[in-house]
Parts: sequence; structure tokens; C-alpha cells
Amino acid sequence: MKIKGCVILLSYLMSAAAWAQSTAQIHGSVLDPAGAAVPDAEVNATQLETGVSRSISSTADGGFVLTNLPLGPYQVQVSKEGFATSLNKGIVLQVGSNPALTITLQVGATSQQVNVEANVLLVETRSLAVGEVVQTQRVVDLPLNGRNVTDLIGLAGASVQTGSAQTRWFSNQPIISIGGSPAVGGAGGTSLLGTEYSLDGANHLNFLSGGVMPIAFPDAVQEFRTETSGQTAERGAATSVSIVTRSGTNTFHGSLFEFIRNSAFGSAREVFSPATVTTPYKRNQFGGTLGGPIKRDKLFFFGGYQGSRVRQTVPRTTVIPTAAMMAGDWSTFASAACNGGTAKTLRTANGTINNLSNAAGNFSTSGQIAPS
Amino acid sequence: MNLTAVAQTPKFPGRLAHALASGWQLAGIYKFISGAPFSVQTGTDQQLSGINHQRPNLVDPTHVYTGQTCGGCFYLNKSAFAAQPLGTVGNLGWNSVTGPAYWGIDLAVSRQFPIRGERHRIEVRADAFNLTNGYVPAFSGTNPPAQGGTGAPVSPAVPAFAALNSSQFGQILTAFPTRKIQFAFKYMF
Repeated sequence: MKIKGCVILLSYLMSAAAWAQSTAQIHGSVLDPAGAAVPDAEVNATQLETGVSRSISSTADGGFVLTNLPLGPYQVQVSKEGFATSLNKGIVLQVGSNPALTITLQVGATSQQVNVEANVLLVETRSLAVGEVVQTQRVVDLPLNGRNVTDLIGLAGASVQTGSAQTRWFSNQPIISIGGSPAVGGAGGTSLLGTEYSLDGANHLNFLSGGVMPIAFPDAVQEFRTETSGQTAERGAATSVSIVTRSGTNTFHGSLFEFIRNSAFGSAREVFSPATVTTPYKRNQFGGTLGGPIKRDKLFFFGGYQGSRVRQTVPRTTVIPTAAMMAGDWSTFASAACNGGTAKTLRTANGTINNLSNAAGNFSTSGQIAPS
Repeated sequence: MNLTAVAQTPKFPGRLAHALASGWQLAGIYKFISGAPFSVQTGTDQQLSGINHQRPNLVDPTHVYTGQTCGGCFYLNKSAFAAQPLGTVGNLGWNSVTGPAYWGIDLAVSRQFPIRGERHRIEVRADAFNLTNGYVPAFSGTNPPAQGGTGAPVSPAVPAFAALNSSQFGQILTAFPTRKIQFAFKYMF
């Protein structure tokens, strides 16, 4: 029984690993020069950065679908006895993309190779969803206060950050309303969980707040896709954000970084009330990433770390007793002038009413405040 | 409306020009969001219905806004609204009032220096948020979401900005942050 449990767990882990990062696919059809379907042609897609390749045979109507492909640049090779091999380059798969590829084979020997710069239409023809992909370069290059990738979700049309959520475990997670959906609701019958967040194809929601769970820092994010309307059936909410983390490739890549924000730079005074001096704020964000092959063309790793250290002064309003109050004289505190016209009635600890309006009201003499 | 752009300087041929001008990159975000719509609320139970968030009567539709957005100014004209007579429903439309607009410019300037060939690079970078240090008024016109959990939901208080019975009705008391600058150093291979 124990062994069986182990096996089930193992197979579960393996399926999870197979699912990770699989958010794109390629579909299309294979035709001969006359435009007729070519069945049983071998279609092979190779990810150029990792060398991982997948193959499938075209069906009787010449169609093929390669599902669950990792993101990145691809070349698709199609071969069939009696035709020259067609090599289609320049295909880039993004989050949730599903490009259509129509391959026309030329008559010739299989050893002959025809190179085609695949003119894949980036217009999505299979999905109704309206969305936008923010790619690695934009994630890393655009200015980001606090290096929070979720700030870039607002760059998609029809989305606006409406606040930030304080939850028990994760503070300051942004609440982003996309396409008018209630980002976090609960009031007046609005639905919770208006936006579905997924990380590497798996659900990434904080079910306590209905918001997004923390996302990796920019250098560890490959890209993300925000869909603002017309969701496909695979989504569980009216709008969605799919985030894909970076992965290792056949060559070693890495980075080290340090971001520093200090209130000494920027503006010295608040615009709102020019008399207020900006409160001290010092933030250091440091870390690095490393990715590379474990086994060439087969197994890869990627890891990253970011540490954030914030030191700041938060202004607070507090009540400080006056010298008279410290000495035990609360008559000013309780007077009618200080309380909107009605004198306050103070009670001593044993419950007797001490009317301060007609007495010195010295608490310390009556033993209620111990002199320090 | 969002505009984003990333621009890089080309590789200049001359030695001096290459040392001075190559490898620079500018990346910016310009964002403009028109004011969020919200409802002015009476803040009191004028309908005598016991239901919160009631809208008042609109008595002067042409003078709803004062045209002022400065800090501490009154953005809305209180006399344009009036609490409706007890036991009636106000005639102000839902979400018929819009708050002040938001805009902001963020800019990142960076330069890459290749070391030991093209494979290793060092990047020095400066990010400015609210580059122009502009004053952008902030407001809160909508009710915060009710606290979740079991039991009857607790109706949150109407924010002062939208509550007609508040002395701070329509008054701008907060603003978006001033210019913040962040520096970064990065090594990549």
C-alpha cells in the first residue's frame, strides 16, 4: 500500500513537470504543389534555444497539431517520401499562441531541402480572446518601481490598478481590474476572482483575497499575456493573465543585479504640501539568475534569487500629554473650551465622578496617578 | 491610454563616437487614465430604507465640477447636489460623476558595456518614476470592498470624497507620489 502511494505521487509529479511551461501550440496543414492534402508527412518542431524537438505525422486531411510546446523560437521541418524536405524558420511561440502554418511541399528527393522563412500570421485565428503579450525584453527594459512585474499588466488595454490588497501572508499585492471585471469583490454580490492568473500553465490565485500570488521578479519572467475579453473555454474567469517563467537553454546564461532607490534622489519635497520634507526611504533589491543545460537537448535548469531590503520612516500622528497633564492637572483637557462647549466628565479609577470644572482637579493629589 | 517605447542607439563606427554614444537605451512608459466614475452619496439614510449608499438629488447639473484640482481644493461643488427629501430616492445617476484624471511618465535610461567580447555585459541604469515631478491628484470615490468571511457583510463607510454630508466632500487630500529615482547595476552573460 505504501509503495503504491509512492508510485502515484511519482506519476503525479512527472505529469506536473510535463505540464510546466506548456502554454503554446502549432497547428497547420501540409499540401502538395497542386494544393491537395499530404497525409502521413512527418512534421518535426525544434525549439532552437534548447534543441528539444517533437514530431507528429499529418492526418488524412494533411492537418497536424503539436500541442503543449515550450515557448521560444522554433523551426519546423516537414518531410515525406517523394517531396523535398521543407524547413520553416522564424517561428516564435509566445504565451498562449497557436499559429497556423500552411506548408506546401515541392516535388523532389527527400534529401533535397527547401528553406522557407515561415511567414506565420501572428494574428490569432483560433481564439476569440483579445489580449496582449508583454515579452522578456519589455519586462526587463521598462521602468518598474519596486520591480513588480504585475505593474506591467496595466499596460494592456482596459486594465487599471484599483488598489493593493493586504492579505495575511502577502502584503501589497496589487488589485488589478481588467476589462471592467471586479478584481477583488465580495461587496453587493459582485463575484470574487474576476481575473484568472496562471503561472507556467497552473493556477496562481490567492484564494483568500482573489488576487494574484507573488510573481517572480522581472529577470526570471519570460513573458506574460493579458486577455481582456472574449475568453476561450479553458479559462475560468472573464479575464486572464498567463505568466511564464524563464527556462534554461543549451548555453549557460545568468545575471547579477542591484537596484537601489533612495529618497536622497528624486524630489526633495512633496508636491502636495511643499512644506513637508520627503520621508527617508532606502530600498535595495539585489539578486541574480542562472540557467543552463543539465543534459544537452534534454534537461535544463533555471534559478533566480531576489532580495529586497527596505528601510523607511513612516510619519505618525500621536497624542502627547502636556506638562500640566503629566503633573496631574487635567482641567484644561476636560474643560468646555477644549471639548466643543461641553465639559468632559472624567472618572477616577474607583468610579467616582471627579468634576474638574469647579476644582483644581489634581489627580496626583488624590492618589490616582502615581508621580513618576 | 498607455504608450511604451524602447529605443537603442546604434553602434557607431568611430572610436570616440562609439565610446560616447553606443549602447545607450531609453525605455519609457506614458500612461493616461481618465478619471474613474463614481457616485456621490448622501452619507445618511434619506430614503429611510436602511440601505446604504444612497444617491442625492442633482440640483445644478452645470456646476458639478469647480474646475480646481490643486491640493486641498474642492474638486466638486457641494451646492450642485442636495440631499433628497426624506423618504424619496435621489435623481443622481449611478457612476455619473468622474474623478480627476491620472497621468504619469516613467523613464529608464541605461547603457550596456560589453566586456571580454560580446558575451559578457555590464549594464548601468537609472529609472525615474513620475519623471516630470508633476502633481497628480488622487481621490477615492468608491467604497472599499466589504470584508469577506462568514456572516452578514459589513457595509464599509462611504469615503469622505463622495459623501455629501462630509465637510471634506469633493476635497482633494491626497496625490500620487512625487518623482522617485532608482539606480541599477547589472552583470549579464
